[in-house]
Amino acid sequence: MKLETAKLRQWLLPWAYFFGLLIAVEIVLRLLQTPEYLLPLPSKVFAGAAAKIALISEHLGITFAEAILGFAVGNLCAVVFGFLFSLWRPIRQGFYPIVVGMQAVPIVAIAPFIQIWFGPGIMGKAIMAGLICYFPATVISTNGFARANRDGMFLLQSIGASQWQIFKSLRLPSAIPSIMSAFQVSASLCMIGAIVAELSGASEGVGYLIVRASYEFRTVDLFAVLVVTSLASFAFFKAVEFLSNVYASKYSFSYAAPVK
Amino acid sequence: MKVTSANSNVSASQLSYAYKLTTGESLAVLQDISLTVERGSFTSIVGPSGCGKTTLLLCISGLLAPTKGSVALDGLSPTIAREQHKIGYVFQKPVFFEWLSILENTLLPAKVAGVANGVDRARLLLDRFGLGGFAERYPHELSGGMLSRAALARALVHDPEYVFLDEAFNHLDEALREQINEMLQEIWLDRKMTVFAITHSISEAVFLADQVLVMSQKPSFVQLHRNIPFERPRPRSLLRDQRYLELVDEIRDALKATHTNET
Ligand SMILES: Nc1ncnc2c1ncn2[C@@H]1O[C@H](COP(=O)(O)OP(=O)(O)OP(=O)(O)O)[C@@H](O)[C@H]1O
Ligand SMILES: [Mg+2]
Repeated sequence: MKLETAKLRQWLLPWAYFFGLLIAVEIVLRLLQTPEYLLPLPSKVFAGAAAKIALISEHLGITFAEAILGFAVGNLCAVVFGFLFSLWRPIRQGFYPIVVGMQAVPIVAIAPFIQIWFGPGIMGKAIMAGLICYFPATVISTNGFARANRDGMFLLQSIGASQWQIFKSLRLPSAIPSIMSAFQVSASLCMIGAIVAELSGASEGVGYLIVRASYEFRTVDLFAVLVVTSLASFAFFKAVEFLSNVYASKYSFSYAAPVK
Repeated sequence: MKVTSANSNVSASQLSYAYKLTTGESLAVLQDISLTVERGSFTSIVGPSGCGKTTLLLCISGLLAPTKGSVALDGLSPTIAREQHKIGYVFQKPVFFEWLSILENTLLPAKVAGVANGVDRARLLLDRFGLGGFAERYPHELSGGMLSRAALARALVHDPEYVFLDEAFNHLDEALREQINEMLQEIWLDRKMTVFAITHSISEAVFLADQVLVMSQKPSFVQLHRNIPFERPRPRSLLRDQRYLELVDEIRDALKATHTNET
């Protein structure tokens, strides 16, 4: 009983603070009489979001599709590369530092080129989303595959396990907690990637809505799109986090501990 | 009527092993070890801590490649014997996959070897070692002693020809240890695997073995190779037999001598 209320509190408190902050902002803006094109009132933003929810959702769906596609392909490549790195030392020694270094490159800066190479369709956006996930996810999953310990390896070798059996029974399970963290990191990155790509040229998607609204100084619409997109992105992240924790808990006890 | 030829024994010749340390130096652990034991015999290995017993077993099973010399298991290279799933191993540090249940862990060698009735065999062995009720549990839910029994069951589940036991009974209390030793003897009498067992208990070493090897300080060699002549099956009353006690003393003295020679 007590535990339940504690949990509820833990869940409710951030939201209470968040809405408290919004109310404070609303009051301050009203007192200062800030013009709407500079910073709209939160109440107006929510009203605007509610009014245009159908339009926003439609475009959000497209962005979401691009992001998910990028998420899937980017992470798949990351896991495959992580595995290959764990198999062949020379490949890891040559490529891994490059992958680590690539994390320092502001991938979003190449969005205009992606626009040139792949045109305005959803393909270029998905590629951007995939790229932005790929580098951190590869680093994280490579570390995961490297976690297969020598004792487990000895055991499998002692019973004459094949490379494939070693992969199935040791390398992959050892890497799963890391692969799940890579998914979590990617879950928020992929939306950013897709939207950034849309900003540099698109005829649909929330990036397109944002560009349109900012050209026309429709600040309320701009913030409305931002709010809805953030909520959706947050929900996606939470879903991935929940699913991956449930799955990873089987493979790593220390990893699962913070969930409970 | 045992036939001894090059193809029916386990032999090491001029076996040496040195670890490459992270500092770049090399640490000589085994030095020119030559030994031959009959196929289907039970060998106990004793020696001072850190002398290289674990290293010797890893070399004989081919998990470590000797720096020098060679090993043959009934004429086969250890690598081939492993690939043919002929080896069962209990490691000194227990190894379990945390994400598999005890039954699944125990089953693993049978699965890898493609043994048809693996599940039945695994359950039978777990039952025999008193773990019947724990098959569905996970490794972190078992005590150290339970895990060492599960590790023994796993080492036997695929009916291997060579069994390596690296202090397999360390976590067991005296009574249970004797009980498990007796079961192991039973299984061994039935299947006649070639067994190498490292132990720190001299009386256990003598009770179980056809021969006891006493290793010297590192870089180590076989200081004493003593045959144990008692017939099988050996009853527990042997533990009070005069000849048995004399052998235990002899080996204890040999082991003590290794300590005084410490460099
Ligand atoms: N992986 C390793 N790298 C470097 N040195 C090692 C390694 N494993 C063991 N050694 C060293 O080799 C020597 C022999 O080790 P080993 O584990 O074979 O001894 P042992 O006889 O089994 O000892 P114990 O009875 O304590 O288990 C020790 O001095 C140890 O420090
Ligand atoms: Mg040892």
